[in-house]
Amino acid sequence: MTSIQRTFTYITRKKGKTISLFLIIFIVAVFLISCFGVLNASQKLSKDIRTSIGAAFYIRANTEMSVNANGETEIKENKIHITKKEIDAIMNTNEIKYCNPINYGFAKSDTIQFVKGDKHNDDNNMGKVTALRFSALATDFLDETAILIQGKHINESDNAKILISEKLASTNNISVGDSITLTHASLGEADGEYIDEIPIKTAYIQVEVSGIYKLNIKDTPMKPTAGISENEIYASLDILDKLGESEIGIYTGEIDFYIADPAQLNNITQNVQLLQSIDWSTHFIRTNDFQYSKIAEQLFSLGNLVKILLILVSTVSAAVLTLLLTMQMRSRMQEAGILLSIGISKSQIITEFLLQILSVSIIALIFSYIVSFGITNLLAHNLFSGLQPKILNDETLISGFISDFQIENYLKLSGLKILLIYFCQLIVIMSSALVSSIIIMRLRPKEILSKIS
Amino acid sequence: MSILKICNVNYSYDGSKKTLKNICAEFDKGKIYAILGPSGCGKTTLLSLLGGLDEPSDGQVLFQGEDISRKGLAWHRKNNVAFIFQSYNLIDYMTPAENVALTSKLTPLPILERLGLTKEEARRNVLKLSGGQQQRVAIARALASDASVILADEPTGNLDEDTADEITKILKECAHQMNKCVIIVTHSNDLAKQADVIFRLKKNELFVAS
Repeated sequence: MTSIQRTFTYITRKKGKTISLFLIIFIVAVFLISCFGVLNASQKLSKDIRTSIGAAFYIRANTEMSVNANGETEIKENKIHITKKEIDAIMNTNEIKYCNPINYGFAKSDTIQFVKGDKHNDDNNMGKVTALRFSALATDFLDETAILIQGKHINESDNAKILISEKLASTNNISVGDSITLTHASLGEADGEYIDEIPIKTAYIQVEVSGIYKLNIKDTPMKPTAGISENEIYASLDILDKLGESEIGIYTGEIDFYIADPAQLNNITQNVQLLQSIDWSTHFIRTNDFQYSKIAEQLFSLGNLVKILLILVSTVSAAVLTLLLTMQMRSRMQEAGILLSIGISKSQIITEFLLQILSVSIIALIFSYIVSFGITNLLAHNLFSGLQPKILNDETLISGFISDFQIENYLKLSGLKILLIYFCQLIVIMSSALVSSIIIMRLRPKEILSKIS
Repeated sequence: MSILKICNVNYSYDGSKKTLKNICAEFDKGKIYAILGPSGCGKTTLLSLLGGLDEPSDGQVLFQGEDISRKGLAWHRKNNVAFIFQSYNLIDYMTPAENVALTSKLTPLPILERLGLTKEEARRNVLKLSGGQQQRVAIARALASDASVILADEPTGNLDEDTADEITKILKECAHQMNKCVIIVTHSNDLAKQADVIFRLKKNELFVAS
């Protein structure tokens, strides 16, 4: 009977011992793989969050409040006035990933019937235009009020591209890739009616529909047609320039700057405010860290907790395993004595016992590999369910941010990492087995036999 | 030339008090030997030295004129000797056939049948057999190994009278018909009487009693 035959016989006949060993190794392996998966996810997420839209600051114009002759409060929203030169100065001096200048205006088209608002008529059949460099960075898209469902976002290399709402597209039978001619417009009010303050049209531009977005909010009633959210047109910056509603290189809406590391936000804004060319008496900076610094800290704490747990469980499980194997080895003293008496050497016997433990371990590790995926997913979905980091890169600026976050991608350990974990675990198991086999190694054959008789 | 010889062997556990003193004896094939003595006199120790389970403090154990330590004690245990124990010492998760197969590459069923076990019994777990049947399996395992020397430590100690007689008969057959050298350690005078040569271990020394 060969060692392999004896190993197989032992594993299949001593079911209780095999199952108890299997369960311990299996549970520990599942735990380790799950913990490493969560640790991996928290580290990767933490890193991604630090390199995603870590924080932003917006330069906006002050709002002036005054009381008129009738005693009513009047709010006047000033326009900012920042040039490309000043933006370049800000971009050059700091660690800013993206800048998104925004201009606002209105547009009409003979071929578009806008969603009707309050006091709608042919004259006020217009939509608000938000012209920007990166539409994916517009507040509505970042907070998921709007989601791009077809086509691509507008980015800095685009010209004459627009995004329209799903409802506007379906009402006018417009698809991605279609061309539309827009003309300038300006919303005004006269005699209780909403009017277009530019009755004579002199500027036209043919634009292409780059994408269609869906809104996740319902509009409040009693808005003019141009104020209806579904009529909002996101446009590349050149469109309002060509319609004469803005000047090339001068931005009057707001300027948003996006940085990677939230920790740098205060330093950066302080440096920006040192720029003399911007009139800070009429402009102010608002900051936003998207709460990611807080999330990153939580992830860091979670990672540390998992590390402590890993050390603790590894130590305890190694001790439990050594104890279990020592008990199993002790109970196999008789078998060792019998094998010695038939001429099998001590080293051969121990190798055979180790082979049995190794076989059970490998089976347990294979099963743990399958089960740990489910458990890791479950754990991770509970731990990271509320987390939707918006990874800021050239790809997400085109496709949008929503579809990028899949926790499964973060949980996946590389094959090499899994092999390394299993290899380390096998070393611990075999070391425990060797330590526990000392009781057999130390005894002389006669002593083993006298113990068993 | 005797098959197994023990020359001036001394043995002590702790280096001071000797368990065995100047032991000399020769054992031949085809004979059954009994080593008699009270409990704790060193009978099992002597058997362990003959079987290569332990090494003497002084002296030599020779198999066919060659010191057993030259080729290694494990080699001696594997090729020259076979043990039969009072507590049978079968591997409890194996069948009789598998226990016999531990020492032999030959099919174990014929030898088990020769010793009175049925085919069905040969495939049962050994713990489901009676004491006498388990001792037969232990003898079958010893015989299957093809060793020239069978060392039996109180082989009938756990058996009732009738079964003990049957086992004694088998051991005699091993010596006289199969030309094995059977050395039995016992404190039973009845069993010793069946032997061709009786040694008595007294005050740590070995004497030929008959």
